[in-house]
This record gives sequence, structure tokens and C-alpha cells, in this order.
Amino acid sequence: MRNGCFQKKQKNKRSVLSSLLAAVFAVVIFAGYFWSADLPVRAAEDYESRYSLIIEDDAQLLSEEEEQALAEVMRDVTRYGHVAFKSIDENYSSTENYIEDYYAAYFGSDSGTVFLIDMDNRNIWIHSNGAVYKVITKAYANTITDNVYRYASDADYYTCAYKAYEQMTTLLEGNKIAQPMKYLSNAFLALILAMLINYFIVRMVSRAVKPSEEQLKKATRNGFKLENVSIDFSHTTKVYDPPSSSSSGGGGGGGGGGGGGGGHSF
Amino acid sequence: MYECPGCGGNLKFDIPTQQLLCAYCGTKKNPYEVEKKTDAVEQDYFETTVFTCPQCGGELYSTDGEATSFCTFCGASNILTERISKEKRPEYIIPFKQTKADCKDAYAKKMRYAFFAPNELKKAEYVEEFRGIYMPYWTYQITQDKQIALRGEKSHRSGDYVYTDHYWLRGDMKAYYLGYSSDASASFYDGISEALAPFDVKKLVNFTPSFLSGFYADTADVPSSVYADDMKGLANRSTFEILKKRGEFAGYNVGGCNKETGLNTSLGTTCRDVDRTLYPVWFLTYRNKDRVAYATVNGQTGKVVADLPVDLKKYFLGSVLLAAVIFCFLNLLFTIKPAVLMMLSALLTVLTGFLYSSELNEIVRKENFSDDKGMQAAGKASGAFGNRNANKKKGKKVAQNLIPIIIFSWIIFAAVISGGADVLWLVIVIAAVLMAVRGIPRSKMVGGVREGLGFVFSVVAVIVTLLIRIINPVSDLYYYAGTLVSLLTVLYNLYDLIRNYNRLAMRRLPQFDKKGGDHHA
Repeated sequence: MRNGCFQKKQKNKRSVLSSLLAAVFAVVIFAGYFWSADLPVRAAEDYESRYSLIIEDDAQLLSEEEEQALAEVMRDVTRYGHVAFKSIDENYSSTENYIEDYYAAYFGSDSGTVFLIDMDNRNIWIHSNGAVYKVITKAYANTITDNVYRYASDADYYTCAYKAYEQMTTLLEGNKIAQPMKYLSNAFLALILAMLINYFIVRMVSRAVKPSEEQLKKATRNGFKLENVSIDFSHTTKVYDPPSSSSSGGGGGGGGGGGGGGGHSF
Repeated sequence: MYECPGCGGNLKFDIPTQQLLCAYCGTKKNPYEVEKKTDAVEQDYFETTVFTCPQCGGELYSTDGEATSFCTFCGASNILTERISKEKRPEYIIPFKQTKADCKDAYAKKMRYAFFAPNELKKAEYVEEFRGIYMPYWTYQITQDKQIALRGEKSHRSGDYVYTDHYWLRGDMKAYYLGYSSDASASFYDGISEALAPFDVKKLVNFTPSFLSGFYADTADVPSSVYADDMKGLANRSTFEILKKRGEFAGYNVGGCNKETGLNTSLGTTCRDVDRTLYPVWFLTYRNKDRVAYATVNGQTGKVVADLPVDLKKYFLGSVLLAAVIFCFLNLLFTIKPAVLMMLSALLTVLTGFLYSSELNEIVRKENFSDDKGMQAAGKASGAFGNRNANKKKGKKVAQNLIPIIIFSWIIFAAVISGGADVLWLVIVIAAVLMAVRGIPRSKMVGGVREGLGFVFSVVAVIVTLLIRIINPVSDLYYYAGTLVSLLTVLYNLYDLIRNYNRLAMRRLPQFDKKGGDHHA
């Protein structure tokens, strides 16, 4: 008996182990798929660059040497589109509105990217358009600014901008940048959503469906007879209820321009 | 035991042929032609062998005297004590139509979608334990005979006024409903018997004890008066629907007596008679520590109603696999900013808190048999929670109606003055307050087990995330810390949710509800 019990336990252990192995295998397969699928699209290179490079440090955050060093790393981006660095210490609108207007004024709808340090709102922002935006999407702009905002918080604006352009270049070249918190938070969210979905599945499958009253009636012997029917008028009541007037709404507005981005406070 | 006239073997009821069959020589006999002296129709009682479980005190009876090795009610493997007794003779019976093989097929079909059920519930040797039991039912004969006078009205508009003409709709009405049924055994939970319905009473036949040969039957211990008003209510609503759709009354917006008590008088509803009947049910018991789960199959229609506990290992493994898929999907879609992520996690915290609270309510209702009239009539319901509810019912209903209105008004107000994420935060805070007010006191009532921690954690998590939101620090680390606190709380809530689900999916051992039952079994 004890031997049988031991064998059963071993068998249970084996089945749990094999289930776990299957789960790990599935996770590895999915992770592999995800790894390859998550690689950013590589932007088309333009070796004989026709794109411009602008540095406008209105807030006086960089030294001359820093501007030159920054231009070096920004030049790599010009293989794919226009590139600009802008710093401001006065802004009467939101950071996002400002950078959109700035981009439209300088580059129109061309491919390119702008990195803005807004000292007034204490924000850093990346706005891109065209081929560059296909790579540096809003999600990636958020990730990059998340990765570099700490330098801005420490008043190291040069490193902040340098690292931002460096990561933009990495993405444009088709490589990956680190986004550990994204994976960690997504993993948590995925686990919770999965547990919730499975809980609802459990509740749905175990639901005992009670028959309707019509079904209960059908299972009985029943009969109904109504004779000598009469309908006698009793009285009339009236209620003041003017018909309500209604008007239909107008059509929707037009679409906005292309491009987009993201940012972070510092 | 019904002796075979050919070989002296035990004749048992054979479902496919609907005859008594001798397994040894193949002799078939009409059930009405095989009678013991004690089976005579003119007697009110007939002789049976009653089997009693020494652990839970549950009783089943049979006419073939074959001993049983386990108790259907508590699942204990015991030699059940047996004694000869006399049982009140039912008037009618619906013989088994679904064979054991049909029953096992129907059960297997149901279990196909029970992904997280313990493997034992699907094993062939366990399913083989399905046992045919005739459950006692009250079958009501409801009649309605009345010169009815119902109110009717027709409306039309003229200018700024709506005119309504009122009428009396009269007629001589006769209606009958023979066969609305309710289970008469306190051991047979109302939730199961209601879901297992309907049984087609057109297939009722006169009872003779030989139908029970090869099967068991449960004893009736709930008076028929317990469900009489419910059955009248069914008849009233049915007749009222017929009258509303009736050609002569169509277009008159029949109304005026839609309260059930009023309908009993308006429609002349009476319960003419109540018959003792036996309905066929295949019964399977799964015992795990101090809980039992029942799987039942309607022996006439094949409908399956089963308690489906969850194997926690399977559930968490399934969740990890599904999480892997969702993880890839999320990564391909978007990047969530830390502040938004923290808000989402706070929202999930209150959502799971509410799910947890509603599950605890269900457990309390189930453990107290608040929804089980049969148990209440048999005096097995604790009633504490139910009575408390009844006393506060009116005030509670008003509060329940007011709360959503207040919340909705606040959301609109907040949307006007702020907009965007602030509105969602307001929803989270209000939901957290409601959860704390409703959940924490309720969790104490469940008692016994360490309930309530989930609510406390949830409230703390919402307070932490809200503080971070108000302080609005630059560093993402604070948001991720808030998110982590929230998500760990959510995980704890979800773990408790699924752990408690097993309390909901299974039942207390019947000995805890029976006088004389062995509570230490």
C-alpha cells in the first residue's frame, strides 16, 4: 500500500514536472517569437544625406564643445531624416504643442526627429515624422525619454540629449534598446489578465443554468379557457405632455497632421 | 428483493426495456406484475431497506436490499447500517430513461470544458460510481377558476395631451397546471434541483415499488407547503402572460394586478392537490477533506448539473501559459507610461476587491442556506445572515439604488471640472471606499478562515498609489513601486478568489447540518 502511495506521489510529481516543462517550453517559444517580432523596423538609409541638422540651445544648457560632440551623434540620424535639438526656457503652451509646431515650421511633413528640453514645463520630449516615425514610434519615444530623464533631473543635459540620440540611432539601425521596466510591467499585467480571464472561464463553465418559466410550463400538463369575454369602457384620463423637439448633431471634424512622439518630466 | 420466477435471481429494473430483468436467465417482467405482499396498492406504506450512513446520518432506501459501500451524501466509504422500514408510498414515478452509459457520456461532455477541474473528476473509475437515485418531489396541481376583471388601457395623443382610455377586461377563465414540481428532500440542494429541472410530468406513471429495484431513493423531509406559493406564482405569471397576448385583449395594455398576491385573488389561484412523486437522478459524490462536490444528471433528460472545483496547480499553470501569450501581445501593441500603469494597477486592485467581496457574499449565502427553502424548512439553515438581511432589506435596497446614482453624479461632476485621468482616479477612490465599507465588515461574517486581508491590502494599495499620484514625483521608480504594491495586492486577491471559489464550488459535509451526524468524520 505504501509502495503504491509512493508510486502515485512519484507519478504526480512527474506529471507536475512535465506540465511545468511544457509551460517553460511554451514561454521560451513565445519569448523567442516576441524577441524577433519586437525588433524595430529598420529605416531606409540615405547615404548622401539631404537631411538637415539643427541645434538651437535657447536655454543655454550646453557648452560649445558639448554642442559639437552632440552634432557628431546627431549626424548618424541624418542618414534617415532631419534631426534637431531644441532647448527653451519659456513656453506658453504645452511641451507637446510646442514641439509639434516647431517640427511643422522647420521640417513640414518630411522624415525627421526633434528632441526638446522644455525648462519652463520641466519636460523632455521627442517628436518624429515620416520614415523616422515608423521606427521611433510614440511607444519608443516614451521608452527613450524614460531611459534618459534622470540625466535631465541631475542637470546633465548634454548626457541626456546624447543618450537620447544614441538610442534613436540604435533603433534606426534596426537594433534593440533596453526597456526592462516595460517587460516587467507587461509580465505582471499579463499574469493578472490571464488569471482574471481564467477565473471568468471557471465561473462560466460551472454556472448552473436554471430553466426558464416557459420551459417549466412546457413540462406540465396545462390548459387555458376564456369565455364570455367583455371589454367595458370605464373612463378617460389626460396628461399634459408636449412633444419634445430634438435636433441632430453636425458631422465630425477633419484629421490632424502626421507624426507623434512622447516625453517625460524631469 | 424481487425473485425471478425462472431462476430465483434478483430482478432489477432495466432502463432500455423499461422492464424488470433477471441478469442470470434473461427473464423480463412488467414492473406492475411483480409485487411482494407488502407492495399492495391499497396500502399507504411499503416495505423497504433503509441504509443509514454512520458518519453523516444520510438515509437512502431501496427495495432490493443490496448493500451499498459508500454514502452518496458525504462520500464516505463505509458499510452503511441497514434496517427494514416502511416508507410512505408515492403516487407517481418517472422511471429512469437515461442509462448509466448515457449519463457518463453527458457528464464527460460537460467535463470537456472544465479545464481546471481536478483530474480525479474525469477518471473512469470515479465516473463509474454514478448511482441512480429516485429523488422525492412534490408535484402540485394548480387550478384557476374565476370570473376575471382586469384593468386595461389604450393611449393616444391629441396636441399637447396624451389621452388614456381605461377599460375593464372581463371573462370566465379556467386554467390548470398539473406538474409544477419542487424537491422534497432537504439533502437535495435547491440550487441543484432547480437547475436540473424540468422533468416532463407527462411521462409520470403510477408508482409500484418494483421500479426501485436496482436503484435507491431518498426520503421526503420537506413539507409541500414550503414551495406552494412559488408554484402558484409560476401559474399566475404564466396565465397573466397568456391573457396579455390573448387576441381579445391584445392592444389593451393589460395590467393593474401584476403583484403576485393580487393575482392569486384576481385569477382565483388555488392548489387543488399535491402528489408525492419520485424523479430519477444520477448522483456522483466527490469528497476532498471536509468538503463535498456533487455531480447530478437528470435521469429523464440527461441534463448535467455539477459542482466543479478547481485544481489550483492546473489553474496557475494554465494562467502562466495564457500570460505568455498576453505578454507577447502587450509588447507588440504599446508601451504604457509608468503613471498610467500605476493607475491601471489601482483599477485592477479595486476590481479584484469587488470580485472578492461578491464571492464572499455568495459563500455566506450558500453556507447559511439563505437561498435554500428546503434547508430552512428542515431547520438546517443557520439563518443568522438571512434574518439580518430580511430586517435590513428595505433600507439596503434604497441604499443600493442610491449608491450608483451618487457615484454616477460624482463622475459627471468630476468629468466637468477636471477631465481625463483625474476622473478615473476619482472612480478608483470611490470604488475603494465602497469596497472597504462593504467588504471589510462582510469578511468578518464569513469567519473562521483568514478573510479580510485582501480588502485591507487593497485599500492600502489604493492609498499608496493615490499619494504617489498627488505628490507626482519625477522619478519613475515611485510609480513602479506603487504599481508593484498594487499588482502584488491584485495577485493576492486573485489567489484568494480562486482558493475561495473552491469553497463556493463545493459544499460543507452534510454531517455539519444534520443532528446526530459525526462532526469529526
